[in-house]
Amino acid sequence: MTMKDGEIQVVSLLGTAMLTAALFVPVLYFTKQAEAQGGELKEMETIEASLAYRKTPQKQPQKRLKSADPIEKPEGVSRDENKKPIEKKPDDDKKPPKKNDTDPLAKFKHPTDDDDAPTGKPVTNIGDFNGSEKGFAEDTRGDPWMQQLRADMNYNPPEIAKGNGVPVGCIHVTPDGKISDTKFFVRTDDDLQTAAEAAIDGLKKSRNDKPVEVPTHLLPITTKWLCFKFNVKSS
Amino acid sequence: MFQVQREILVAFAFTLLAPSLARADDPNGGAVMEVNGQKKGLYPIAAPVAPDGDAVAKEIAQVESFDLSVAGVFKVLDPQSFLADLKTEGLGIEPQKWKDVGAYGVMKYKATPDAIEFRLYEVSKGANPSLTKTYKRAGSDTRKLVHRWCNEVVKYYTNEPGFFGSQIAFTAKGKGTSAIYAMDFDGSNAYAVSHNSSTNILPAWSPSGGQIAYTSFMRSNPDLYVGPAGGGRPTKVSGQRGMNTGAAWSPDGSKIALTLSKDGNPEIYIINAKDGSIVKRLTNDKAIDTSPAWSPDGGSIAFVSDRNGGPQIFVVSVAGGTAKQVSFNGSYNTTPTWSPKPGKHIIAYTTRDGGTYDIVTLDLDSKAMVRITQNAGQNEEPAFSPNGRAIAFARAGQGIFIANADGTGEAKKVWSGSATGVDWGPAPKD
Repeated sequence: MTMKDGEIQVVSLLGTAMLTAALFVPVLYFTKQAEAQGGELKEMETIEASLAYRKTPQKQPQKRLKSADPIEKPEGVSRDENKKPIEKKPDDDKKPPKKNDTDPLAKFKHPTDDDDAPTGKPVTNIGDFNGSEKGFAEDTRGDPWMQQLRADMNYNPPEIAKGNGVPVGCIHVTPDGKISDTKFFVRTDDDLQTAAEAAIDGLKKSRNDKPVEVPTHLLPITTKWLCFKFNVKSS
Repeated sequence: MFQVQREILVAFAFTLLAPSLARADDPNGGAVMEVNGQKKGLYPIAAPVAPDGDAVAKEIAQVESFDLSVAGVFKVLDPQSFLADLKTEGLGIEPQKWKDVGAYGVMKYKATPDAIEFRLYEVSKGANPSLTKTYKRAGSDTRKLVHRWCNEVVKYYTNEPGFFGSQIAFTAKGKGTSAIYAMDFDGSNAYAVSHNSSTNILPAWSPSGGQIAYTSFMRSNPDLYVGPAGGGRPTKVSGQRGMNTGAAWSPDGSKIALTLSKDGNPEIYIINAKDGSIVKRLTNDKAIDTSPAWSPDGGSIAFVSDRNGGPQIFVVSVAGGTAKQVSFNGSYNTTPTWSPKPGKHIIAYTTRDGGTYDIVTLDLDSKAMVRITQNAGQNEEPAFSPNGRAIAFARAGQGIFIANADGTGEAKKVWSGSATGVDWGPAPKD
């Protein structure tokens, strides 16, 4: 059985109408139901609620600490009587090749203000945190963690304390902020020494009870002694 | 460019640090932070009872503890906190055991029938005593020996004489009468100075300590008498008509400032201590001028006047001139007394704060005020210890107390009973 063009159009129209009806009827039905519930919602107060959950504390990225530098024994000195002295190879005395040997323009180059300053070792190794300048007292002076550390150091010798020495006491801070060890590098053997020891002991107790984690940028200080010079202000 | 400069600065800083840190046995690197403390507060000291623990031993420790607790510079540690084995230690110390309880100093002693050996240790100096004294006991009061020792300890630390062994005079009120009493500064050995059934008030020690001036109504008029500090018959020094009150000796003991009302109005005068003859009239004001106090340098006299309204403290030069008001706190300030501290110009006086009376000190140079008492009864009539480290005062209805002159610590009661007119005698003579 074949349909004519006119019949096909009538059937299409009917199909479209049925499809449209099938789509609209449920929509109308649910909309009316929603309107019926709307009255109840209007009577209610809106509150904001959210689920609170304990967030796993995010630790600061930990810097991989460099292990302590190996102790360099002086050449030619050995406690091992059987050990043979190190023989120098003939090439040892050769100068290392110049960096810019391959740069044909090297001879025209000279340091400018834009170049990085040469990184050499400081005059002494005090404050040398593996080459990082962040360990220097001057550079850490304004650091909040360091400031708090100093603020927690309660150094107040009694009014009649005898002595005028300047003890230097040091602490070894672990990355979690605890104080694992203390040591005095300058002892004055007077009342100021006693006051400084009491201050360091007090700091150790308070920091071990409530450790304040060492910030990442200060982690190098955990590899060395962190020292305090105990001065007395004239009143 | 800046980077290079920074490197130079860092290197320079290290060069500066190098000498001091080289001494530091090389802290193996690390930041060195400057900690700036300030000398303040009391010196923690331990005064344990000697291990033999008899009555004398206990008394010695008790007197030591009390003396140092009122010295104005020490904090005597609670014996219950001690970790040291006193029997094992004997006259020595294990420094760390004392450091662990916060002691800076430790006092030890050993009493035998013949003598008492005292030792002072500074824990920072290890097990060797910093000060040792041995006193023979023959006929001497144990308390006096301990006072002498404690004076040595104070002198060791402050380079000032201690006041232990000094005396305080005061007026003790009885039924319808009041008598002049004197006692050791710690309240022991009290005795009557005046022996009459009348009213006796406002005692004042002579600078030598041998005499006490006071006002007595024994001849009806409030006249000024001077008698031996140990008691005995007094001599009338000033019997002007009206008031002869509030005696204050000049530092050299030759004159006395007092209030006379012979002309009707109370004014401040200076008289000769021997015969009472008037040397000078210091004030001439229609207001009431009273309670003179002679400055330790002898140049000024503080007194109370209501010439500007309520009673306030004024200071006038002994040479004469206009009196200058120095107290401005509140509307009622009375009973001034000078600190004997050399080079200082500090007065203590009674001030009314709301409904209570308290003791304050005022530095006349810096104008700094320190409150000595607060929220503890009605406190009046302060008197400085001979070295200026402590202040004695009367607390109404309770007795006489001693407090640190810098306002620290708690006041300690040395006399129970109704007392007024407190005056602290001169330093003890050893």
